Amino acid sequence: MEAIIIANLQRELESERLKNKSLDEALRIKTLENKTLKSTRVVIDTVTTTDEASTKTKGQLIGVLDIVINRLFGSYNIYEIAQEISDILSQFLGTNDCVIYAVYKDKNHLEQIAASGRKLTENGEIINKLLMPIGEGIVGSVAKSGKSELIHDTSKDDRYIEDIETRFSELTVPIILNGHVIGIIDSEHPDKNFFTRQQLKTVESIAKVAALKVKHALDMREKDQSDRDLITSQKRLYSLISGLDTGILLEDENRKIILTNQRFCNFFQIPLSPEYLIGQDCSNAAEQSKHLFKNPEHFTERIAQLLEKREKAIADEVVMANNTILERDYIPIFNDDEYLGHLWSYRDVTLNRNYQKSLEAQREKYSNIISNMNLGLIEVDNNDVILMVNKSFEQMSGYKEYELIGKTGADILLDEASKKMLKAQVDNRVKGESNIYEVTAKNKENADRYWLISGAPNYNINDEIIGSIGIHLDITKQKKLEIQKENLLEKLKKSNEELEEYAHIVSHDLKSPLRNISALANWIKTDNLSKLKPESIQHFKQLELTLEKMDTLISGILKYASISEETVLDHNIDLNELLDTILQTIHIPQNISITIKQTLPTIIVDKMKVRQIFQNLIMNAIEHNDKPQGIITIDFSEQEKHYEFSVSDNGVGIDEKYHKKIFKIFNSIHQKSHNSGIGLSIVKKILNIYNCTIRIESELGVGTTFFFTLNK
Amino acid sequence: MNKPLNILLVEDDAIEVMKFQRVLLNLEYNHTVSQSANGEEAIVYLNETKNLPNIILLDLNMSRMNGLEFLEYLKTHEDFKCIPTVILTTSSNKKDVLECYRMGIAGYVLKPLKYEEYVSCIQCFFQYWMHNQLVH
Repeated sequence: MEAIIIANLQRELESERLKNKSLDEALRIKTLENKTLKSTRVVIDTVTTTDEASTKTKGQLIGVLDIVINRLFGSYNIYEIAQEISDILSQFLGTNDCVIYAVYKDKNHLEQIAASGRKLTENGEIINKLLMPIGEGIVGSVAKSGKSELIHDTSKDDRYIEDIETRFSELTVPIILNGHVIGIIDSEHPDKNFFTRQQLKTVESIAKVAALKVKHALDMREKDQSDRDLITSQKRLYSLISGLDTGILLEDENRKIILTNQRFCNFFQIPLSPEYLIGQDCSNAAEQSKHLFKNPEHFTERIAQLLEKREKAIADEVVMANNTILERDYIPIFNDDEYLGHLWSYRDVTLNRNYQKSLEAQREKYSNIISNMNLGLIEVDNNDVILMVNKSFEQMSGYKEYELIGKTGADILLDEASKKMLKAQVDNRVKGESNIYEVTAKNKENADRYWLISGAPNYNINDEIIGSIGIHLDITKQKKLEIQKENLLEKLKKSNEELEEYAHIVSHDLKSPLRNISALANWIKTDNLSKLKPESIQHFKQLELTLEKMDTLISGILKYASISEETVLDHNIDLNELLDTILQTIHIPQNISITIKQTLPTIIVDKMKVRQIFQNLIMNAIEHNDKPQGIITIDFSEQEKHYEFSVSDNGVGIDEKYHKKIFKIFNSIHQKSHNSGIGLSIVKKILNIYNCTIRIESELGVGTTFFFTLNK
Repeated sequence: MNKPLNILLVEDDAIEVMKFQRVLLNLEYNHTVSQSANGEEAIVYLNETKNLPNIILLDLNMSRMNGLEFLEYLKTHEDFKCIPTVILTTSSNKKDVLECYRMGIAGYVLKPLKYEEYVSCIQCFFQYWMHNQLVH
């Protein structure tokens, strides 16, 4: 902005210089004018001396010319001039008829611009104002030829065109300027042979004077115009300069102030108005104002240096004592190698400088963060050519900056699979998407590193994508742990499967001998039935029961071992239906009644596992019932996040000291043939998988209630 | 309906074999029973015999070649794959049951613990198969 204003200022100065030139020209014209006056006198003298007319006529002539000269030179108005000539001549020629024509070459016609006598109305307007083509009529012919004509009898001249009435004598003289006919003086008289040659000469002389006068008038008019232009331009310049945000001081070659403005006065703490300073000498100004600057000596030295060198100096920085920072231009003004003075301009750039400083500080801060953060930063262009890396990236990759810049990132750092993946990611980024992805990279030692990369497109100021910036986090440690964990899980899964397999094989291997013992015992019994004592037969029975218990035990262990973490989430299991199924499949003795207190909820669970829980608890309740009328009640209550179910009985009850023990495997409290002691362990194991709990409330001899939760 | 059956019993446990024979004897069936101690033996038998069995009774847990491996051979063999094969085992392993049915067995019978139950089980087995139309 300021630069533009300065440029304008210089232009205005230049045009001012031109205007001055035209003032000179005007002055020259004025001189010329004086010369003209003198030459007019000479003309008159010539006229009067060459023609030996009567002294009276001579006196008359000189009088007319004097009048013409005196009147005409006061006026710049061409119409006024024409009117004056018309008036004077009509009187001088004694005709009462003198018309002045202006010749318009461009329009190819003449126009009556002044007249006298009967050609005028009372208001002085021309009657029958004629427009005459050049070449037509006597006037037109003279306009064309440029030669005066004296006609004694117009009736004998067929060029004659009648104006308001027929006149027989006519005197027509051209007004010639620089070789061009610019006007016509035309006088007529009703009588024949009225005008004399003497009169013709006089009118011709007057025409010459009139020509000079017209030229003068035109020049003056031009000068007036340029004066006005100059003033307007100066005014414009002053208002421009006074409103500038830049302090301006224009000095001439003698260091006198030509121009300054308020802003300059403010900067230099001058308590005067800028207008007042015009013409003041600045020779000592630097010395006077140096105290305003932080380094006064430097200020004066530099100014002296500039003035001596007379070389353009732009944007010198000067700091004022009050910390205001100014930028100074020094522009010497030359006109064809002639030194005319110089222009000082001062701008307050304190804010700019401060912005710049804080910007610089910000930049510093962020580049510090970037270079020291624990994240690898890499900037690439659209062809994945590395433009910038930070220190962390150097450490991560093992490569030095110079080894990376200019190279294609993927070629150096990535394996084939990651390259392919990267390409897909980059394609997305070109569309302007940011993304996060993992790559397997090779560092300089060719070791596998895992990097998590967050990439974002990089735009230039025109919003075009010029590449991308990737932030890299080395996740090798985590990744290795993850892989280790995955391997471990895989191993665990395998060993779990093996274990289950093992459990099945063991149970088969254990059960087969049981079957064989059972078969063999049966055969011995049946083959020797007649020989056996009743006790022996009883022993066989006990043998069978023991075998059965052993079999249940093995089945229980197998079941317990088979409860896997893998759960099949059946959708929406209606527990009412599930309970119905259970109660239909298990054996319920006649003396035991099972009641479901309220309609059970429908929940999302692994059906088989929940069935196991209810079944085991109900069977447990049946088994441990010693009352003639056994009552088993199933109920639930709804909590915030789960349901709590309860299975209660009026059975034997469990002493509190056993409450913890009963959930442990092989810890059956009661010795009964069918109880493997594994049922509750299975329930507990299943509930553990679901992060659910089971608790017991029991009183010895009164009954037991098991509470367990299931998540909603 | 006393058409005698030709049965191949693949079983490595001698007492199990005895149990089966005794049931057959006690019930006075005149079925023919051949016996192989494991899958390998059974394959040799099948390839050598001129009388292919009507039914194969197969134990799963056996040494050398177990029941599943034998079943796999059987079901890919053009001549043998149509012989109905019934599993007779102590394993209630769900995985085994599923795998066997997938391979195309004709039945899966768990050996009961008590001998009396075993007898009735085998009795049912014969009654059922004697009513079946068989390929061989």
